[in-house]
Amino acid sequence: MATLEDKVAAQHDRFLRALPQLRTGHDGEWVVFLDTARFFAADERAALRWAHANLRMDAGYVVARVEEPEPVFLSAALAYRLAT
Amino acid sequence: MTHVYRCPLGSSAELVRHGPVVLGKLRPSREVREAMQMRGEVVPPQQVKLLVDTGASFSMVSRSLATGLGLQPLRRHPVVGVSQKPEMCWVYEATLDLWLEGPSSRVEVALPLSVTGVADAHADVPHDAVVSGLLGRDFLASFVLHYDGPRARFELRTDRVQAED
Repeated sequence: MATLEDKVAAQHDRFLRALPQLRTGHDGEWVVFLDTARFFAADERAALRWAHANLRMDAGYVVARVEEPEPVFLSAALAYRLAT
Repeated sequence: MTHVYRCPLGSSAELVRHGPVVLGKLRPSREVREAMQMRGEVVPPQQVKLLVDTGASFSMVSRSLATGLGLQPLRRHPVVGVSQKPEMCWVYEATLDLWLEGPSSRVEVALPLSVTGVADAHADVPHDAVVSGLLGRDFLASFVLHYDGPRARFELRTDRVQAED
């Protein structure tokens, strides 16, 4: 039986495949994604509110920003390669 | 209405050693807690020690803490850690309970927080040096951080508490 992380991972892969199309018209917005884009919002809290009100918690939905995911550094020290 | 979180440390040396540490409780969001209760599951909130890190883009905790609390996974994001290679990490929806000083009294406020779960890497670090995670610039977006080394204190101040809905 698929775990919630399995479901979200599968939806996240679908979200990444749909990303080029989503960026047309919704770049920088937040999306609730479950098989397709269900809702767009200006910020993460609004997207989460919609997901809580309209989807089951175990559905496996993704809440993400419509943008190309760029790697982030855990901390500034790592950004400057100072980690021991 | 201004609310303030104040440093629990007592001396400049302690502040240097431990850094600006925030003590609070981490737990799933209200909606997830309600769903867990309907399934008969109850996970108590976890006391956490979080280090304010202006060098961190996002807030993070260990992945084992996040999954142990039953936090809701929202997405994955590439994170560069000690390996210097981007690794896909889960981002979870959480609630951080903090005691804040308001205009007339102290109140415990439930703040929504997205946290990235990263691999545990504390095995060889002294226990008292270990923090549960980092509060990054995403958290600080709602606060003014005042760090006063000579007076051994720091505070987080906000005029708009965005408490859990």
